[in-house]
Amino acid sequence: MTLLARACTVGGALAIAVMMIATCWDIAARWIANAPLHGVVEMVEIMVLASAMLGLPEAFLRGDQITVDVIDGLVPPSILAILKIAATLLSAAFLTLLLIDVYRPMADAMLFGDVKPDLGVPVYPLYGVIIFGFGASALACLVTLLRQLGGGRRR
Amino acid sequence: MSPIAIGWVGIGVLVLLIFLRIPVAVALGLVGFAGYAVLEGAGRAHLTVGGTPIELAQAYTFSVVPLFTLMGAVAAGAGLSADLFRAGHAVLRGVRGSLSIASIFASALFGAVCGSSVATAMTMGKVSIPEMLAAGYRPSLAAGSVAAGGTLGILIPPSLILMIYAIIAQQSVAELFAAALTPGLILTVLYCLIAFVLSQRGEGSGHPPGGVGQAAAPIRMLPALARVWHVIGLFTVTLGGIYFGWFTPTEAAAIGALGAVLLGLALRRLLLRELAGCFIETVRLVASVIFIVMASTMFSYFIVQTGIARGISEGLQTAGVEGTAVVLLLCVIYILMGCFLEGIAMMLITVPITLPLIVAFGFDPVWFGVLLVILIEIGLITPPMGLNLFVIRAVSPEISILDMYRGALPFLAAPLVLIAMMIVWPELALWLPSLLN
Repeated sequence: MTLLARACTVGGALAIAVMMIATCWDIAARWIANAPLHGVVEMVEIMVLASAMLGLPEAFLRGDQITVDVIDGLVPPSILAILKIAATLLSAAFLTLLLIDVYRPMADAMLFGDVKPDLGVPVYPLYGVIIFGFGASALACLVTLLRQLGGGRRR
Repeated sequence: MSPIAIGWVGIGVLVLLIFLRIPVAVALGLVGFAGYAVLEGAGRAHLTVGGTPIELAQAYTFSVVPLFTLMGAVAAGAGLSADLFRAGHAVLRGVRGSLSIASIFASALFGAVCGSSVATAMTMGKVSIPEMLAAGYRPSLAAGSVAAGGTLGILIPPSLILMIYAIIAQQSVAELFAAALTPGLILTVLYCLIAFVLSQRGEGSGHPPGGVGQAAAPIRMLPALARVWHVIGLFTVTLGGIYFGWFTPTEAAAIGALGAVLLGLALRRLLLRELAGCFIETVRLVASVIFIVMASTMFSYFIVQTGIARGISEGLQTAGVEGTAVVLLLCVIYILMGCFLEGIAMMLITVPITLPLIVAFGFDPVWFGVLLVILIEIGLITPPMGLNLFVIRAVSPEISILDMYRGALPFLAAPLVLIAMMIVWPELALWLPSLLN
């Protein structure tokens, strides 16, 4: 899972690099040759989506999500362990809910042949990236859950 | 149960979940979904949840977040903060407390290329605290000045928190950046004044009592100042480009990010491996930020349906409460919340309620965004949960937590004075955006 998550993050990093280079290329081409890069706004939008969704699995695996931990010093370790497990379970449940709910608009986009107006690329693969991001993140939560349960058993 | 009552129950459950250690994004999303389902039915709630991710994740306005974040990560990785600190010290040499003031001054300049207070405090702490301690500064003064200076990272544009506010409040990024510039400069001056006053106590301020060091000759300042040309160049091209209308915020961010990458490589400050690390760090941060904004949008759909904000503003107006009193009340609430909540979380939870309230009382949403960031800054250096204090603790474990608290407290006066100034003279934030328009 760690390798898969890292591979996704590298994909997200490439998306940011493409976003940066395409935008700079567009500015240079516009200023120098008065020939802006066609569809750069849509390209940037797609890359934002890719970087956000592909970075999510590693963010969940590493526990990067913002959490308020004021309770840590107030409850015994056993309760804290239960709270952490509950947090992971709820995270997996929320991601699964998102995953299921995004499927319907993806099916609609496929059925009606929605495309990006400038680039002409179909929209449904973008939903696919979202579903993949949420699915891989839910999987990352399950791996985290197994680690938490394993850690608890060892204690 | 009335929609407003359901809204209050939802807010109560949200707070409970957050304090039970559920990730803020997950708590916001689940409460938003469940609340919307109770009010509008499960079918509509599923439709809303299904449409939110694509609507937000591919929003063009979001592209400023990864690009400016990358610029900041590369600037931090390339050690630009060290150059800024040395330049500041070269200029201020001879002034009592020069290292402390230089760290604040350098943090302000670093904030101009980095939108994160944690990154600013961390990089500046690594560079300046060892030098201050070696020069005989009190640990509390060293920690306090770096913690306070670090907060400038989120006020002086580009600021990650302002970018997120722009998205959730549907305001212009360029206007918010312009609005934050003057308050950011004023706060820098106020922090420097506090550092100067604290340094007047001879013992532990880096100078013998009754005497100060020798001032630097102007000729000696030049090489140090010349070393910060890159930061000045990045700032001028990116934010100057936005203010003068040459670039959109996304274009400015892309140029800034590419410029930082090229500078890091050309100056041999970054190896390719470290550069890759900056990209990876950016992706993880961006993913978490966009996910939490997505969840917060679901929560705000629910809050809008409840009509809580409208109910509160009508109640307050009926009771004859003045707008200024509402702002002061919100300031107190935010300062208290900032003692326990992280800044982005605090903003995402509250803005769906507080922004309509503020607008209903005739205040400008851009002005409120800047005020909110200043309030979040207070939370960053307020015990017991001030994030910058923990960052400095991690960078300089030799400074006790008590010294850190003691060091940060006097600096709290600066943002409080700035808030008062912002309330009395809203133009401090609004005159520069008005020039843009």
